[in-house]
Amino acid sequence: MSMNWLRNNLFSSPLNTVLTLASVCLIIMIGVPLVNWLFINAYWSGSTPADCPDKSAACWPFVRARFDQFMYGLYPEVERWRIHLGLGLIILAAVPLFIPRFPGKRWLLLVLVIACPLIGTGLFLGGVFGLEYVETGRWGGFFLTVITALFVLSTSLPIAVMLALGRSSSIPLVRVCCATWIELWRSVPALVVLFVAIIMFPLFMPEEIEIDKLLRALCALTVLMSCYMAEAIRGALQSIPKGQYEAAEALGLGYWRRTFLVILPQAFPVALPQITSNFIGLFKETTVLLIIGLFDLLGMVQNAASDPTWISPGVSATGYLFVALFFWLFCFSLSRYSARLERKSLTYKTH
Amino acid sequence: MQAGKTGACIRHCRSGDSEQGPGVSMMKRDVVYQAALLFIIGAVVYLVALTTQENLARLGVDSSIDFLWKRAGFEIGQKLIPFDAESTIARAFMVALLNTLLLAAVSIVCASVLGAIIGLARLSGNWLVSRLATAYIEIFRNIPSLLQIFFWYFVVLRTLPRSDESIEFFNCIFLNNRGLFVPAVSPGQGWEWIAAALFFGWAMIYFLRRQERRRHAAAGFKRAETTGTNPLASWNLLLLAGVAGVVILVGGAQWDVPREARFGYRGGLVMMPEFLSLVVGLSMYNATYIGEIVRSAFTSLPRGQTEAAASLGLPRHLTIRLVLFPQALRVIVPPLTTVYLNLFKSTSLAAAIAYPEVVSVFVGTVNNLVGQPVFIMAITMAVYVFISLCIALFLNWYNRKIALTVVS
Amino acid sequence: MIKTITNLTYVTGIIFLFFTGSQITDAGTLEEVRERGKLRCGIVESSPGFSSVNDAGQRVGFDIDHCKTISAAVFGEIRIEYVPVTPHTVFTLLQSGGIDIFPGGATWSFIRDVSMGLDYTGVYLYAGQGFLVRRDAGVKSVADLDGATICIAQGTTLEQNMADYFDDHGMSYTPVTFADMDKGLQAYHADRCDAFTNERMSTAGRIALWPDRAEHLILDDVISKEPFGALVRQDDPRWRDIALWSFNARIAAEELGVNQENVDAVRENTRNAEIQRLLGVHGEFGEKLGLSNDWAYHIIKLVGNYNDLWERNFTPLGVRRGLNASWKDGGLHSALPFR
Repeated sequence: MSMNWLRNNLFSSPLNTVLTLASVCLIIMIGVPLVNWLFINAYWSGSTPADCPDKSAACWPFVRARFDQFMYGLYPEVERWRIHLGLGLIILAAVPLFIPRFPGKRWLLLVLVIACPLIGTGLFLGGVFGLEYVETGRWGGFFLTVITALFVLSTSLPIAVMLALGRSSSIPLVRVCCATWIELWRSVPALVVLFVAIIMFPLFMPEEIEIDKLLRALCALTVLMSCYMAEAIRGALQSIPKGQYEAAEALGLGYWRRTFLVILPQAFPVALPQITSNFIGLFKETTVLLIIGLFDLLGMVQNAASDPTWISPGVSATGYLFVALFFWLFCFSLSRYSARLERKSLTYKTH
Repeated sequence: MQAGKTGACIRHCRSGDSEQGPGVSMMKRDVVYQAALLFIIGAVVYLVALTTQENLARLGVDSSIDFLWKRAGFEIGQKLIPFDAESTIARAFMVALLNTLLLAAVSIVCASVLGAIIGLARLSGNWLVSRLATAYIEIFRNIPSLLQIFFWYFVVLRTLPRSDESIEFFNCIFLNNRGLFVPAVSPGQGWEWIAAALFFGWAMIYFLRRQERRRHAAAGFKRAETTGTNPLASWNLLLLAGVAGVVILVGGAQWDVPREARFGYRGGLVMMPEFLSLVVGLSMYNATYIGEIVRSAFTSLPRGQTEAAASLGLPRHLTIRLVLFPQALRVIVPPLTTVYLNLFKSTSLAAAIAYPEVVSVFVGTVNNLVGQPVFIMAITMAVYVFISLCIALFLNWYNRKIALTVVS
Repeated sequence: MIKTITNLTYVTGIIFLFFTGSQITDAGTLEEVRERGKLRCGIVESSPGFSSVNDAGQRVGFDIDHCKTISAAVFGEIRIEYVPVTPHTVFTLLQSGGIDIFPGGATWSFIRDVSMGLDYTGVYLYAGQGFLVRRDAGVKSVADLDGATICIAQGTTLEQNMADYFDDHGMSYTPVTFADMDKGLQAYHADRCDAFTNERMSTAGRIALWPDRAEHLILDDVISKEPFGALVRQDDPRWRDIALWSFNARIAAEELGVNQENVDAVRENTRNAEIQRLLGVHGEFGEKLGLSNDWAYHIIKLVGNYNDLWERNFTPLGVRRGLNASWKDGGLHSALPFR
């Protein structure tokens, strides 16, 4: 049985045999040094540079020593419960959204959209209710990455819906404006958009108004993300059968009620896989923040790895591996989730 | 880009109705909406322009585009056209732009080749090969590309040997932590000959192809079947290279071979480590997307196509090349456009390591030098929009072209 | 039409919300800072000796002490919001008021002072651009660097200085230009370049803890003079005065023999009229600046005199004062008189 399987799948023809052997060679060539580096030569214990005498081997003490910074940036240690509490609340409230058939999702979403900024400013930033003020310059690490992703997701979705509706509107000027706006931002790199926000935004604003650097970066990402999301939603709008519009119209519903009560509730599930993959893209894109001097997870690691006391190839590689694992776990599970959604929506369509 | 497609169900449904009674009032409302929108946009633009002007005046920044023709006063590490500190800033911009384009072009080619291989490998009947390809895709597409670039640059670069212990190939190609050094044809005497030879080669190929096509037409084949399946196609490159090679050997062009100097190797063609790590990082990341596109394109083809080809007695590699690939290409090109555009945009990540492309040189060095953020950001954005547009238009044109061929 | 108006109201509401989310301030920087309760100080992240985070997670360094100096003068205590900046963002942030002061090592040059809407507040450090090379490369002076690959950081006058110097001396080089110093040093350390160029002091600071420090050498040559001054906006002379005189107070204190340790004792016992004016025993010097009269006392008490700063931040890195000594010791720092 197993011999048969081997013959059919690995050695069915001379070419296949060669390919199999080549693959095995490749696995050995990459795998053996990797295992060596990662497990056999690696240093696991301790938390000081002296615990990694060999400069090229994997150095986990580095990650242990800087773990707090990787997670929270320079957020004061005694105030970190605020991060835990805030993120915990958001996650707790968001979980039901992913449970099918949970009642009142729409209201929950609304509550979330209102509550998140409050949590963000009140709890994380502080300065109210006797909480110590922690300026955004001290935010960093994984915390900043998550905050960025969540903030941008929640702000860009409503804008994206409006842009998508605008782009498929019957009013020519609205359509043209939305299309131009969307295509303009979609054809510029995220980094350039961030630079525009950092460098240009202050010049656009009256002198008296100053906006925090992080907030500016978040606005930039929101503008960018809303354009990508808008395209996802527009695609979904197009997939709604014409009959739905006609039926809604026949019921005497006006444009807004038709759109928000009939069309969007149907379009949203269709757009969800695309939105999820956009979100994954956004999550990966947050690393760009380090170029403009905001230290997200990768920025924190990059910063720590250039610390003179640690500086070595092994330390950099370990740091990057740590970040890669984080991102990979998150993005992989999200993409699985999105694939499941897509399969579900496909089966729904074929019915 | 896709304004033409703007769809529109909402639009269609509405325009259908507006011929009847309520249509008139609706059109009136449309006019009001448009006027309001126009007013808001105008007001916002006016306000922003006004505040910007006020701010700049207050800050004592005299905004003017004249800075482009000032002396640059800095050097750039990689330049495809002559440039030094005496050149103008406009020229510095051209140098940076060419660097961006070079990086984008090379990465796109590498990513496409790698992506095609990965995509086909995923479809392979060989269990191990397809699993490896799947693992590759799942690993590399879920790690941020900037992280991958950092990895290649800050980790792999370091494991390369120092200049005096370079890895050598044929005593003329050298790889070390300063980059990859390959011989170059010096733009001396033989240069114009090679250009002429390449032109001649190209003309010859064009002529032969036309002949071939005419012969096929005479034999009663349809045009569609000859394009892309020209039996001479694989010879074209060889021919070009052959002709050029002959000229180089006979015409006595000068080879510029890298040689050891006081500080590492000099001469020849140098590929900076920054360039190499960007190309590797960007191609490996984007190849995962291209691989998925290729795979889904091939799986979307009806099974009957393969069976029909098999019943004609076509061997598998010909089936792929002549039957499946041309059809898959039509499905591949539209999503490929998105990937290419993303890749082009992510060349800006080069600003994080020291590759001198547009963002790094213009938004970085030049902005610090002249302090003209408004013009600099405007020019940078305009360039990205323009090139993105070009890539999109070209691929749309290509898409239409291959679609037409099949229809006719 | 009514619908349009409602929509417009929504839009206005959103814009209003957006604006109220940001802070609205008015006129003078000093009032602005007071009202905010915090000084917004621009700093460059992780530049040992100048600005870094110690193991306890606190920011320390020469630049940080400048921030503290201003805060001590304004509030009499340390109340600072540190705003990390990059070379890309610093000038615009200053221009737009995102930060109140930037003491992060910006060279006092004509263009920056005159045409960028910024003002300098005196020289707090005499620095110079130099080169870091490997000992085994056999480079003895800058002249030996002809044809070398040189790592460099963007955003200051470094790039032009180098181009000008090499051009003047008929030498060639290949630059590898990084956005920030850390990546440049990291690349140099990985042997990407033959040399690394930056301000010598900050280079020394960053490499002091390298495990293989002994294998590297900072050349004695300086290809440019870099007088560093803290930057403020141009349109607020009062604020500039505060910054200038706060920095000057530390130099004056050193000349007058007042330091962090003895300041309380000196304040009570001194007969020297200038010290009395400096520490606010006599004369209303603080009030003239819009501060409390013991502003300079707070500076010395909380931050120290110039020598205290040096001892705390640069001495551990093995950097001597050299040009930065007081004029009495042959250096260039000389206090403007308090009278």
